[in-house]
Amino acid sequence: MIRALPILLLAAPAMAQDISVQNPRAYGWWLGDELVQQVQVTLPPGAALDPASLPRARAVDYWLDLRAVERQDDGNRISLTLRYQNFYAALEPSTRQVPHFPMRLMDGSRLDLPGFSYVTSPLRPILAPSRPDQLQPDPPYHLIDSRPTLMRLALSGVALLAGLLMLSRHQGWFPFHARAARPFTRAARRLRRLPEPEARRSLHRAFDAAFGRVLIGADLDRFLAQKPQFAPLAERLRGFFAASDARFFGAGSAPDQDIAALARDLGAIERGRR
Amino acid sequence: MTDLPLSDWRARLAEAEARLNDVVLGQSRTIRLLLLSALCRGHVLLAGDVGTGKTTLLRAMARALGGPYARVEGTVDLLPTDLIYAAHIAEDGRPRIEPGPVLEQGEDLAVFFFNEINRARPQVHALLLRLMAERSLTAFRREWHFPHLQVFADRNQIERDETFELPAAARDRFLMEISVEAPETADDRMALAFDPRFHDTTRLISDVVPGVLPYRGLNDLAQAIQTGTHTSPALQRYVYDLCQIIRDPHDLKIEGADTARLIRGGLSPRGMQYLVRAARACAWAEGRDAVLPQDVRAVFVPVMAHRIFLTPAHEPRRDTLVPALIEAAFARVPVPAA
Repeated sequence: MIRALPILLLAAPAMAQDISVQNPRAYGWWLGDELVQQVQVTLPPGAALDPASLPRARAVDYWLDLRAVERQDDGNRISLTLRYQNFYAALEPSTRQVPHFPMRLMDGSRLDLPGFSYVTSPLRPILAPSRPDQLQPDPPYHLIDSRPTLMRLALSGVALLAGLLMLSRHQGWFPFHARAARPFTRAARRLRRLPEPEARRSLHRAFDAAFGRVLIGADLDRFLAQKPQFAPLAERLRGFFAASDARFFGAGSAPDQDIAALARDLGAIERGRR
Repeated sequence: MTDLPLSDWRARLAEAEARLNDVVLGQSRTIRLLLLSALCRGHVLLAGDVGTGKTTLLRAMARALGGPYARVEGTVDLLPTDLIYAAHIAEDGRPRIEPGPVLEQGEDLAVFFFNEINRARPQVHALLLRLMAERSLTAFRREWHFPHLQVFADRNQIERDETFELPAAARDRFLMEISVEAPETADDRMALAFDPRFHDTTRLISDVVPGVLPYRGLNDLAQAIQTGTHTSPALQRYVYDLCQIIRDPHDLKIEGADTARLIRGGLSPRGMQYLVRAARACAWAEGRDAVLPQDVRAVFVPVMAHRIFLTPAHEPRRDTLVPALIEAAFARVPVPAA
C-alpha cells in the first residue's frame, strides 16, 4: 500500500487545472452534420500537455468521426477545437453520447476532455416512399483546366533535363565522358593491315594528332619535352623519323622498321599500360 | 679558287658564319639567312629598328664575299641618274660625267648596298628593280652586265614620314626580307654596349677574312647546290600544299582575322621558286643532299612573308597576322601527305 502511494499520487488529477468547454448544442443534428466542441484548458504554471495524449482524428465509433483536432497555445492556456461529424442514420430522434477522453500532462497527472451528448433525428419520415426524383441533382461540375499544369510539368521537365545535362557535363558523366583522344592506339589498330608507306604515313598522322600540330623530325625534342611519357622510346622515335626523312625526302633508301610494333608500344604508353 | 670542291665550300661557309657571329652578336638567324641568300644569289632586304647592326652586318657580309662593292644612301632627292652617273667640274673647268656608284667598279661589282631604301623615290626603285631582276642596266649608251651582283638593302621601320613604301613588284624581287631585332640576351646587349671592340665598326669587321666566300665562285656553287640537292615528290607536294593553303586559308583559324577574306594576293610563282632555292641552300648548308621539311620551315618566313598581300582591312595588322597565318599553315599541312 505504502509502496503504491507514489503511483497513486502520480495518477491523481492535477489540482490547479481549469477546463472550460463549449459543447455543441444538444438538439437538432442530422446525418452528416459537423459538431464543433471548443475546450479551453488553463494549465498551472510549469505544466505542459503531453502532445501524444491529444485525441487524434479517427473514427470514434461507427456513427461518429473525429475529423480534426486544432490546437492553439496562448501562454499556459490551450484552446482545442474538436470537429466531429455525425454519421448516425437515425430512425427516430435519438440521444448519442460522445465519450470523454483522457489526456496526460507531462508530469504524469491526468486531465479529462469531457464528453457531451446530442440528439440526432431522421431527415425524412421513415415510411415515406423513396423515388429517384427525390434525389438532389448532381452539383454542377467544373472542368479543371489542366493546361497550365501541363505547361509547368513540361517546363520543369525541360529544366530537369537541362540541369542533368549541365551536371553531367560538369562531372564528366555519360554524354560528356568522351575518352581522351588516343591517336596512337587508333593508329596501332589501323596500321596492322597496312603496307609500309601507308603504315608510316598513318603513324605520322597519329604523331600530328598527339602533338596538336604537324610534327616533323626537327620537332621531336619539343614533342618529347611536351609528352615526357614517350621519352623511353626516344631512340626508336629518332630512328623512325630519320627513316621517314630518308624514305620520303631523301635520295637514298631506308632500312625496314617494325612500324606496327612501334605503334603498339606508343599506344600502350598512351593508355598508361607502361 | 673559284672551282673549289663542295666540301671545301661547306667548311668556308662554316668559317664565315662563325666569324660573322663573332662580329655581330645575337644575330645568328639573320647571319644564317644572309649566307643562304648568298648561296642562292638572291637579293636581301633587311628591315628593323635603328641601331640593331644592320649596316655593320652588311659591311661584314660584303667583306666575307670579297670583291668590289658600292654603297648608296637613300634620300628623297636621289634620282636614278645619281646611281649611274657622277657629274663634276674637272680641273680644266669643264663639266664631266663619270660613272656613278653602280658603275664605278665596273661589271665585276659584287655587292651593292642600298641604305634606307624606303627614303628613295619610286623612280629609283624602278631602276633598282631592273638591276635586281636582270643584273643589267643601260648607261653610256651600252648595256652593263653584273653577273656577280647581289643587292642588299635596308629599311628602318620607325619612320613613315617622307618615305616611299616599296611597290609589291620590287618587294617580290627580293629573295628574302629579314627583320632584324635587337639581340635578346642580356649578355649580348651588355657586351655591345661596354666592350670597346664593338665601338669601331671598321676595325670590328676587319676580323672577317676578306673573300672567305669568294664571290666569283658563288654562281657556280649556287648552280651546283640547286642541281645537286634532291627534292622528293613528297617535299614538292608539301611546298605546294603550304603555298596553296596560304593562298586560300579559309579553313585555318587565326585569331582576330576572317580567314576567308584575309588574302588579296601574292605568293607568286617566283616566290615559290625562291622558296625552293632557299630551302635547297639551307639543306646544303646543313650538310644534307636532300631537302627536309625543316629546311622549308627555316626559310619560309623570310622568303614568303613579304610576298603575302592582305586585304585592306587586315593590312594594318600585318605584323601579327602574317606570322600567325604561316604558323597556322605549318601546324596544319601534313607531311608526308597521304
